[in-house]
Amino acid sequence: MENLARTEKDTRWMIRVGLASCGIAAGARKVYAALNDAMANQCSNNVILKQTGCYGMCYNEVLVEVCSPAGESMFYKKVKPEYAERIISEHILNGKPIAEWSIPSDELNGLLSKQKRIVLRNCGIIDPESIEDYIAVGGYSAIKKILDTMSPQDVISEVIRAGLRGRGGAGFSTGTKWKLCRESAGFQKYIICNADEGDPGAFMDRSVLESDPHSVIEGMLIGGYAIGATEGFIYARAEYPLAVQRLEIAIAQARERALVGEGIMGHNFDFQLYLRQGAGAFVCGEETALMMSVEGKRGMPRSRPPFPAQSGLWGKPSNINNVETFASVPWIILNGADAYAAYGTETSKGTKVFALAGKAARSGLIEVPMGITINEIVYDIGGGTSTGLNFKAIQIGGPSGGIIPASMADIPVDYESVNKTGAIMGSGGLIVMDESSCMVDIAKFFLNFTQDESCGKCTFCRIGTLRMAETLDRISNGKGTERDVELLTELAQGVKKASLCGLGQSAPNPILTTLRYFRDEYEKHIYDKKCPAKKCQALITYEIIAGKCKGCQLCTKYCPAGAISGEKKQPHKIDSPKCIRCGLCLSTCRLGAVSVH
Amino acid sequence: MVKTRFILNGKNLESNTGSTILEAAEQNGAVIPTLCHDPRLKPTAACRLCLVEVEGDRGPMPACSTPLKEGMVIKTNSENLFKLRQMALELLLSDHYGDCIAPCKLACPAGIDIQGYISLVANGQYQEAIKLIKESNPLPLVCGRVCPRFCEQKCRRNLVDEPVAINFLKRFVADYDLNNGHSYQPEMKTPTGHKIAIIGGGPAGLAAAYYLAIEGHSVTIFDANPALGGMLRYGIPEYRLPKQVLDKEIASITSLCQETLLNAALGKDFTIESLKKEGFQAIFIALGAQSSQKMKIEGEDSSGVLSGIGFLRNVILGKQMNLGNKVVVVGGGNTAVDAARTALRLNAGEVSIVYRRTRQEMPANSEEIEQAEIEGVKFILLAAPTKVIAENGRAIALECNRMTLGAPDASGRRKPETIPGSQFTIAADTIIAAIGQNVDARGIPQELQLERNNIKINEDTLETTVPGVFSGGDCVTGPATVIEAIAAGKKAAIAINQYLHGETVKPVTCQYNCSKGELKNIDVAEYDVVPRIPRKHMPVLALAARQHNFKEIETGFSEEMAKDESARCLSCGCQDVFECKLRELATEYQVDDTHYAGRKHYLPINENEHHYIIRDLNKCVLCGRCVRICSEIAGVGALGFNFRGFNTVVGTAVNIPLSESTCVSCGQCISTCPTGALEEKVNLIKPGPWEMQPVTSICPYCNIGCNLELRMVGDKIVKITSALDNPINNGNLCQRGKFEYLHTLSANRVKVPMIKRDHKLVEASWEEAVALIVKELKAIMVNEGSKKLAVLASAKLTNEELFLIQKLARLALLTNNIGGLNGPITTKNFVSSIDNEIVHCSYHDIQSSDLIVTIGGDVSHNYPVVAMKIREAVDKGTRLITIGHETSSLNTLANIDLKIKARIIIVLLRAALNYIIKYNLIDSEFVNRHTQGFEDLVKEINKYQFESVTDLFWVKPTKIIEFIHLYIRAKNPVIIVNTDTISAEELGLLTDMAYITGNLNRAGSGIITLRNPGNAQGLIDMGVTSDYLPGHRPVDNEAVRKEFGNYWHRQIPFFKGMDTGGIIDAVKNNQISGLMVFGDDAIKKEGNSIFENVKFSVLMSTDLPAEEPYPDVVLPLATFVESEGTFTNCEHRMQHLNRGLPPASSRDNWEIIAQLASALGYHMEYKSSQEIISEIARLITGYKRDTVNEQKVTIRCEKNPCLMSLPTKDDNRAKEPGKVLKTV
Repeated sequence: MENLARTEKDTRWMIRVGLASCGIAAGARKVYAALNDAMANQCSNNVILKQTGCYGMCYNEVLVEVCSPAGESMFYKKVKPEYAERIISEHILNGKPIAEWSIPSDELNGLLSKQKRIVLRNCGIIDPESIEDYIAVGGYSAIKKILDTMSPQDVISEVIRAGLRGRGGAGFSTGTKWKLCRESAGFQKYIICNADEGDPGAFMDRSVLESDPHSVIEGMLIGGYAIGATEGFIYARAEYPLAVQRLEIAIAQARERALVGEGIMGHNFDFQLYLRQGAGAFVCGEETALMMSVEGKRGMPRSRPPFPAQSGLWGKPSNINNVETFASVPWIILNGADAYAAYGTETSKGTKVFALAGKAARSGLIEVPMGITINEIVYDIGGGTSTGLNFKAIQIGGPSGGIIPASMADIPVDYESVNKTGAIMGSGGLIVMDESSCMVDIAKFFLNFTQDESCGKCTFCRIGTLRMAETLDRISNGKGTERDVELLTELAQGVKKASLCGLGQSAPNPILTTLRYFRDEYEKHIYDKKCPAKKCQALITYEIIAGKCKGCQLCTKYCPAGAISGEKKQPHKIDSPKCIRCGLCLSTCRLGAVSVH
Repeated sequence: MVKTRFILNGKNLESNTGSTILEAAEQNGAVIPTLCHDPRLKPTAACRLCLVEVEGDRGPMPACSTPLKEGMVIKTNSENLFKLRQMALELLLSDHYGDCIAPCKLACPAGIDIQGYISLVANGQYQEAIKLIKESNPLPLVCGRVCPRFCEQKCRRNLVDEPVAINFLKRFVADYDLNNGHSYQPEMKTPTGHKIAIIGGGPAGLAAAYYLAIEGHSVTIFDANPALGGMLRYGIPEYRLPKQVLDKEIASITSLCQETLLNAALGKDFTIESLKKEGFQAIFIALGAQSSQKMKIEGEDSSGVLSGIGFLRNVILGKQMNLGNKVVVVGGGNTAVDAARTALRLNAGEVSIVYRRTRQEMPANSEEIEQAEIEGVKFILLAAPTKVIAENGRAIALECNRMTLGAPDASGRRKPETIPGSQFTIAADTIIAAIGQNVDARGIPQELQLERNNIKINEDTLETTVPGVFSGGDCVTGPATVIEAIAAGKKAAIAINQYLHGETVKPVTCQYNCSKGELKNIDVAEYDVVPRIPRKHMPVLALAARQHNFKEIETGFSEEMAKDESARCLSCGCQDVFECKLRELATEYQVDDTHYAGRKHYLPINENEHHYIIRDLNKCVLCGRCVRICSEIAGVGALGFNFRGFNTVVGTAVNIPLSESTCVSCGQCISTCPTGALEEKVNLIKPGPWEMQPVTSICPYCNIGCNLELRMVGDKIVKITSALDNPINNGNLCQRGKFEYLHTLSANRVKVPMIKRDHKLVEASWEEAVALIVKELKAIMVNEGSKKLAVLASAKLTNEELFLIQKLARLALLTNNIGGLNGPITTKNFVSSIDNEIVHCSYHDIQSSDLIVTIGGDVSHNYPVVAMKIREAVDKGTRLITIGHETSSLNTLANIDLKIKARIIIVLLRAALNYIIKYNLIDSEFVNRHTQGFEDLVKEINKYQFESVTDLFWVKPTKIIEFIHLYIRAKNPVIIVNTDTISAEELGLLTDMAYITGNLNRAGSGIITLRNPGNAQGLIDMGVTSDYLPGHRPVDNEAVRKEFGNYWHRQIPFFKGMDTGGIIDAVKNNQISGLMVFGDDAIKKEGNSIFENVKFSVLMSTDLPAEEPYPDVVLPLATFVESEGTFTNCEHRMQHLNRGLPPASSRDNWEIIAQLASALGYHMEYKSSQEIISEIARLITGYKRDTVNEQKVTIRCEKNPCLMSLPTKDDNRAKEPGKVLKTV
């Protein structure tokens, strides 16, 4: 529980309110205001109310942490503004924590004991809009250390030794990437932070930028120093307004303190930092497309070689890393490569942040050492499924990733093991699926996503993904034929092999992995015209179980198609041809009298 | 050049270092397929067709963008790659909506290029049309009358109103060809000596004979009948196909053959064996199917029951027939209708047709049925004969059953079924059974195997079971149509030709064809915008005029009707079909476009979107070439990608019409589009497509000298393109080069001489016009003297023409008042400021230069092709400085953009020179060694102190200093001058700047002067100036005058003449009495007003002057597409123009000029423009003819035009003291 330790030397009570997007969406601003008011009413001086970022327990937002002067900490979950007065009066003024609102210690323990917070070290602890807070927890001491004591080569070899691999997904050695860029000929070089997080269900980067933007800036300064870049760009999604706002504040603060600009910390090191906002194109997360977008052009990937390290932004040697990678760097510099390499496996060192989503009971942001098993993540940290249905599979790596079945969930999460399953590590999206998830439907969802987000440049991705999505659509509509599986396999392999960029090359992964692990589900759709997960509308029928129906007429009221009929207090009936299979009757019936086949 | 070694498909090769894999393969002659690559553009690797396997790489790599590395092992042709490419193409074509080939052509068994010939008819090119038709059908006179017209059934116009009258148009063309005197004759190949026997002179035999004869083989036709034609002659009545017409068509074929043997039956008069013995190396059997089918009913053998074809044959042979009063014809095909109508003509009282289905199902042509009805034939439909009722062995009635239509049968038509108990009888004196024909197996030699009573052949090769013996037509297929027989004949000719050349006989490869689909599957809404125009009906003889006779009923289309009808054609087939890269690859990779069938784009085509360009996004493959060429090369960026994923389309910003975007109409996008998605609007009524003949020419609009290809079809220019491999513009063109020729096609052309009478121009004969000119000009010469005469010429004329014009002026009119219009810088100033023979720079230097300075007006606007070269250089790292007041698309690329008003550029240049001299930034060694007059320059320039003028500019002095320093430091700086806004003095100062900094006369550095008309340089070189004779020889030098005088056998006038400006001023002041203007370009600024003040004026012009005052005489002038000769561009490269069209007046410009000169008293005699250039070459150094290739003139200095001989010290030519340094 080291992360919970107080870092500030202060003897006052402290209240932390998680004010990242997840908290704000749950109403944290109102809670913050209510606490502020309550403080004003009851006590004014000896309590510090602090806004922080996300602590990762998104399922529990609004999250409020109360720290006593003695350093004891307590988390309140799902806090409402009404709670404020009592928290102040009972917990702070009377020293009596309110047990019924707090997160039970076993839950907290389960959630945190298997985590190791390196990237997220400051998230939920410091005020992201305060450079003083960041400096107070040792911020900007890593850049000071390297400027004072290390040559660029030293930095590079330290990062190589730490075994840090690109957290954007591809997992290329960060140090080696820096080395290649450093060795590339040219005076002008650029370093770019990829903050264009686009995977559905992934929010690691947003959280880090909202909770601890300075660690990213410091990481970029270190990278810039290492490769010899004097200019840096952060390419962030415009859909992350809070992240953008906090980044702007952070850059301004850093510039004010001469941590960005000319002659940083009195050394002969100049570094300018600019923020660019992307317009929400998924493909702009691909590094060559990202550079096009930074240049002001339509974000379309280009073929490599030449690699960005040789010819990148405006044709100059450039280096791109993602948010998480940069955020790891200051920790490595301060704690040493060995400390970092102590975590993880032989080839995948350190920790990885995951956004645990889908049907996980405890969804949110977690950081775990590499090599942890999927089961540990799903059950120990995630608390199993939220629905109580059996855990079926996990989608890892976003739309470019793949699906790993529950039967293989004992594999360690590291780059090599995940790749072996046909999925990829990706940027850290983990979607937990239970038995109600149809694998054809899941594959269709991701294919539709990649089709919509394809930049349209290369033939295979532009048309191939559509043809695959259409085929999946046919199958889920009960119009699939034997040839369709062949067609899917053929297309998936072709698109994977021949697409121009990572988007197209990985777009077939959801199909290939579901075909590999859940082929029987495809076959049931095609030959039996049945959807085992009861998801595909065209293949299911709703029926009212006469014995259970009490004729309350609730379903009749809700049915948008007018397909349900029956006298009051008499068992109802669904007119199958009229039924549009929306499932409203199933969800409205309180007696469980609606069944799906 | 440094080479990189690599292994390609197992072969050790090498290629230029720095190449991509694709370029390396190309350099070694290996082809890697691609759609998105254009050598002019940076690679993009979008289409994924150029994928290759590189050893050691994880997956296939795009060859177009992957750099070649030493020792690379590359595979381009594995099965895996084939499959990936096939998949890419199948994916692309799964979203391709359009017709490669129009459905009419596809429906035609003979594959006649229907859209092509209809377009030719629309454009009035009938000769071309018959030629095109005869490529697939040698019997258009016949087919134009009797074809069953499968094409019209598939005509997309069915979706609008009625099909185009395709066949009537064919008949019109064929009739036109027959009646216009000189019928089309095919080109014959050299005789091969091979002997071929054609057995059977019907359509199949005749077609085979025609195509084999063209191939140079000796063809003999054998026929058992007394005349050729087969069923055409003996099966089709005279009123439909007059025998006289048939005879002419047959004669046009037999005239190409060796011999025709009539009344010679196979098996009786000769055998296959005997033919082989006689030396026939190949035999084509086309016996037809001439025995009639039986009705297979009781009483059929009674007298009075005839077969349809037997009856028709007897009538045609002139046999007397006694039909009685009532005639009943059984059958629904053309033979039945023919028999019925023939019977009527033979005075039968009542003629009925009995047919078992309804009228809709009758296989006969609908017009025939209609006409039969008009003539009085009765139709008894849904009736099938069951018995012939006979009395005394003679038929008296036909017993029939009533029928009803059941479910569709194998033919797709509904099957007739008997209604039980519905029997009825029809009284009949004669019953004609016309229900079909059979092959008469008795005539087939025993050595040939049969299949279902027909001759058995190999479908692909048409070869029978006996080697060397081929067969086709009805005797193989059973009774079919004329057009199918013709198709078989042509197919056989191809096979036999291959056989005779010892090749394996292969079926004709089927090209990939994309189709919009069958008529029933097309959304009619697509054709909503097409105006409804009724089909032209075939004019027919009035009923009275055709009763009881065999006169041809259909009289044929008039020319006007043909033109109107052809305009109804929707031009379904793709304009790009002959050049489409996608189609070519789809064929090569055996693509099945339904394999990945799914959602398609259906995007409406906005034909009015742009004046010159049509975009059909349904055919776009998103290769991005147009987008890239528009931004990378043209620097315009009017096109981009809109939307994402499958919805991605190429479009303009926010999808505004292209004409409202930043588009500059250069047509570069069209030049790079690999499919038919981008096409030019063709300035013809119908656009074809056709296979076009390229004629190379040179653009006349500016002195860049872009190479053009006039793409010709017959006597029409369809479009202008440029070859990628030409050294001047590398396939790039601007709007003027690409589209301006359209103006030369204007309807207002002068075709004959015109003389002014009563304020009007009226047509006159050449003699009259020339006599008038001679009379008037001579009068002025005698009464007022030659000084009162002046000559102006356009720099759009060729060297040859200009050379003759100055000869005419000096030797016939005895005047030195000669001028030409070539931009604001007059000839005299130009010659004096940019030294005589020096060409400082070539376009090549732009590419190798490290600094480019543009000065004057917007180069990208006025000289876009040079701007493209600048852009390319800047992209490779060359620095750019732009000086001028206009905002240019080059500004954003410039390292320094000096926005300076046109009128103070001279101040800038003086200040810059002052700065260079003051701070001693001079290349003294160069100045000392090569130049003279430096002291004068210093004296002059000292008047203009840098510091005292810098306040005048709106740019910081430091910017100007930066420009000077960049220019001095540059290794190979090139100055590009847009002379449209630069004065002679400014040009002189620029030259001085180049001299004192030593940035001249060195490979890769110098000055390029861009001027407007295409032959601006030639105009000066040819001596169309008051001060200079050809070759810039000063006219005021007595020795020079003498030299030329001796050569031309006449004294050169020695008075000082007026230059262009002088002449124009003099005209305005009434000081000129006689004026000759060659090309109205020469007086563009002044316009017609120039003719007001002269006593007598002559204008040689392409177009009629639009308004008064008119010149006294207007002579026709041929445009550049009508001329042959040479232009000299700004690099001093002499380039050849070839003639695309004949001159509008059918006289060459040089011919007219020579005639005028001769008539005026200086005899000129030239046989060709080559003779003129020979004379020029003798007089001007550098204009030497290429001795190797007599047809073409050499490029003046091939590699580096700037290394021309420098003038010598003792050359005492014009010198402006104090202004310009001279090299020595």
